[in-house]
Amino acid sequence: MARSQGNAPEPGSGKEWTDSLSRGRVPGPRLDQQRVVDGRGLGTRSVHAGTYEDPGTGAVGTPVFQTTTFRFTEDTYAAFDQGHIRDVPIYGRYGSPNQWTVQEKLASLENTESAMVFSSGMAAITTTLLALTNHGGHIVSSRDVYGGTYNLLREDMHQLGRTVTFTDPTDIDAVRAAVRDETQVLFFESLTNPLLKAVPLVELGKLARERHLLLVIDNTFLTPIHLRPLEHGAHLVIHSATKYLNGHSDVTAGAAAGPRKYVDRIWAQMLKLGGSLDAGMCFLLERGLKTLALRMRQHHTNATAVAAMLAEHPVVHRVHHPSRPDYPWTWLHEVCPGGWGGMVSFELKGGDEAALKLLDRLRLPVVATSLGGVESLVSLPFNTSHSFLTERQRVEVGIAPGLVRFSAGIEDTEDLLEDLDQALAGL
Amino acid sequence: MRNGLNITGVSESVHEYRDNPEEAVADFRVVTPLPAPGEETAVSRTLALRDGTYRIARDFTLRHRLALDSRSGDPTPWESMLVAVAACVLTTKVNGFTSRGVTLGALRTTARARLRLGPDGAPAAGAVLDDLGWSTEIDCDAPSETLRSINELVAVFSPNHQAALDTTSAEATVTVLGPTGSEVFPVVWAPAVQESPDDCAVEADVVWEYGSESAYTTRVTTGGIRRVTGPLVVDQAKQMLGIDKGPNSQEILLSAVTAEVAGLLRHEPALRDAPVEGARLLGSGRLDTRGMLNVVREVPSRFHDLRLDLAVECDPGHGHKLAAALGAALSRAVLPATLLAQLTVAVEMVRGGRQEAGGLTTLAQTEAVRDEVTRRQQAAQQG
Repeated sequence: MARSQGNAPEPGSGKEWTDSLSRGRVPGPRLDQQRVVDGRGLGTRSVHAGTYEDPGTGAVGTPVFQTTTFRFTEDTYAAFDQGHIRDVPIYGRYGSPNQWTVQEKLASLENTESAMVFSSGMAAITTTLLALTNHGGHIVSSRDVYGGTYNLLREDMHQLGRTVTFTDPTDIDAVRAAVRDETQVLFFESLTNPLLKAVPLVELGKLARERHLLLVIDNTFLTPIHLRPLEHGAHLVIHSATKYLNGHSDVTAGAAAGPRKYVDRIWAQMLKLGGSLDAGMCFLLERGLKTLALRMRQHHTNATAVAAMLAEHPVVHRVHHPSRPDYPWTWLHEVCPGGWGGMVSFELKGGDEAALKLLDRLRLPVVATSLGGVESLVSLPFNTSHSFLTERQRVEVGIAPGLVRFSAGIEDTEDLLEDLDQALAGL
Repeated sequence: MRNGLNITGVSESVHEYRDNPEEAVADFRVVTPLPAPGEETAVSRTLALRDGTYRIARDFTLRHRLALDSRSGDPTPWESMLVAVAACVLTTKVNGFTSRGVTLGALRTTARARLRLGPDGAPAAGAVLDDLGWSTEIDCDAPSETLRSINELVAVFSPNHQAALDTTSAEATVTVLGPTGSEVFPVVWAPAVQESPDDCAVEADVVWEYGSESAYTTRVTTGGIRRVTGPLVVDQAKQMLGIDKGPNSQEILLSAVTAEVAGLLRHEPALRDAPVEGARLLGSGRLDTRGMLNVVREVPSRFHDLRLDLAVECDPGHGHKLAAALGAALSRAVLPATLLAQLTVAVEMVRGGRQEAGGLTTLAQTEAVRDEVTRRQQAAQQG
């Protein structure tokens, strides 16, 4: 196994005080055998970026390197000696060709230097936030974030010496007012769950630079096909790869991407927290990612059609979707001209009772948590993702009675519309 | 990974500093509330530091006993000043040996100085620390030539050592925070030296643990009584190759200066009628890695841009009186005078009881070494 590309600095007895002045940081980790297709279209990058081309067999797909450890070479010892162990195959948790394959694909899609995969989206978030903050640090976030993230921020961060302020993620003045002397990170979701509130990404990026903060964006709902937050001022992007990135509801994984100066730190934190992703899951995630661009187009088409149909239906009180004329956060259209993924939320006039009946009557979408898979999924925030909030808190973040969260899959549009129509007709 | 340091990012950082100088700057800050007249200690807190284009939260408390003979178990500001020099020298040495590929067995730096005493047994007003010097004991397999070279370069690039060699002035202000805004009053000061034949010995021992973490103890002997404090921890932020285990040597220096000045200020007669409740002294200073790595010759390698600001919530009418009081306290303080003076510092490196390197360092000498390093770097880049 060759070492990854790049010219890591090599201190030694003959070196000058300031070390070698050749550039040390390189994209990756990346092996010589991996395909690099930077600059191509997103569909092409989804398919080809990072693929390991096995020199022995000529296999078209990346083999599964189902091993926890790798034979030591001179490069291995040099990596231990000099510290660049992220770039050399050593041990499964440190990094493996399957991780590097899928990481390179993600980095390419996000137009950035480096990415990391984790054993879950929460592992990605926990590891990233701890890596980027110090004891005594402060994080500005929002109660609109995913429930697991909210619980981490509310229940655990103070025990780890970090404090958190929750603000309205769409109000840049409120975010600015929440920044303190010890604030280090702004953490938001690009599109919130389940109301699809869009954060003012460009303004957040400006605020982060103005105040020397790091902007971390969870871009799970939009994926790099629709939005690449790093191009609009974010320093790091996070994904629950369980959702659209993998897209088949058969892998639990997370990801973080950005410049190596930050991702290397996250990697070092991951080594200690341990949330690495094994080779088999990496293989499945890489396979899922190959169709990401294709899937996202159909998710978007279906969600937009569903939103349009729901908006005209007499039992529907309100539809939350960026395609609707009353969608308040129009800045999303400027940064995401190509689509907004597959999520739609809507409120039924009959409240939670009607919503529960709707779930009973739907035949195609599966009533289940999660989202972003090829199959449509439906759930009610009040008894699932936001059940941890009190009724008052739900109202505060806009979770009204009768709210339904619909994750449009990639089924034929007409089939989804027909099924929704028959289910709504009986309410 | 050698000596607990991962230095692979160093070369990349050098390039980043060239492209974006803002990334090279680290601004450290410490705040010390004015202790009440009866209090024996000053309590400082580290504040978030700006490191390039992002912030690093710092969450440490540093306590100083304000009288040499008080029974508090905390170090005095004068001992902490020696800790700041010794710890900075030691950290710079760990970095230097690591970049040369040398694995360290043990490393310990001891800094010593004489503190002049007035007739009342307190430090003499405005007197600099005399006979400042440090000695490092090392255990490693590196050739003697490497030890001499590192010792010489540390004298050039250790920011706190350089601050002692060079003229490092503390710019002082008073900020009066009123209900409708704030007003800043400049402070004029110069050391008001009190001649005194008496002095006492002050020492600080810093023992390397791993990476950038070290433990320190201090000693001061007055009236035949030796008071020892510590061990306490000094470390870097994790973004600066440390593990956030303690304040770093620049923060220790700032806390020593603010504690000494705050301790003197509370007794200033001019403050008797001033509303100083809640007053706090903010100390700040800057490291510029372009200087510390000699990326840009003109940028100082020393800890510089030292500022002290007394923040008081009161009527702006008190501003001039407060500024005069702070000026008087600064003029009587030892540490600002020590930093302001161009000192000669005795340095040595000892291995196995044998001196491998040693001598007196001066600003002129270290500037000449830096010129030579610059010449060699330029030649290497052209070659």
